[in-house]
Amino acid sequence: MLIEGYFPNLVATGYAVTSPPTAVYNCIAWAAGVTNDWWWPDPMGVSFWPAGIRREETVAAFVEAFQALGYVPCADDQPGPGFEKVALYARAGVPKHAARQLPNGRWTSKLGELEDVEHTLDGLAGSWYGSVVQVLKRPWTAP
Amino acid sequence: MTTATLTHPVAVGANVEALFLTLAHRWKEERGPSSSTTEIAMCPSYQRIIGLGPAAIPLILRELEREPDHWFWALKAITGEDPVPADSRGKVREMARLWVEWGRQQGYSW
Repeated sequence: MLIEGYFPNLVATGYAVTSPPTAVYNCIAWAAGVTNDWWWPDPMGVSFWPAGIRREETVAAFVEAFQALGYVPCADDQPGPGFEKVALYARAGVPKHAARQLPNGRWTSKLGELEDVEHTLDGLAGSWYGSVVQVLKRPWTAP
Repeated sequence: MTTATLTHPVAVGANVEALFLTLAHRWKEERGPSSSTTEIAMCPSYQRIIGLGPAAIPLILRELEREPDHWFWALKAITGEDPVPADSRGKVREMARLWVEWGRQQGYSW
């Protein structure tokens, strides 16, 4: 299925594919700046999850994971000088996705095992990822 | 809870292999763009593959060797084993290599 089939909002909001597909890393790792791990607090214990962070699929646990990387919750999704932001999506209170803001104000996401895309936050809202429930920011760190 | 540990290779019939390949193909469609390890493992076709039991092990290992992917939940569920140390969790290529090595050590071939 085409990406727009999963995320129909992308047709109107626009997007760009920025990588080939891979099952090696996922959206949480990508938002954290990592491209060699699959991050998820799965109960089977097969995926990476930061040490010391509760291994549960709650928004609070995902916020804690990003807080461990220096992020703090913030109120808006607008770009600001000196800060980088991540946005957590959830559906029915269960985390489904994270996106990271680019310096140009748009967002970058890894779509499961599919490609990385550059997009708006609304572009990925819908039945798969739900909607943005929390934005976090930290001082900009050089790549 | 007692977990059975496999110690002997299991013969794979052609019909099981055909079913596995069908289910594996369906699984990739069902998982869509999900990043959730749990959601990926709970897909109906993935659960049916787990339900194939030990017969699926060499087929999964063959897939892992061909293209590292998220077969680790199924392998743990079927075998009760886990050759992946804690510091390698989430490293898909490394996990695939460790499971393939484990399979060969157990006498599986594919």
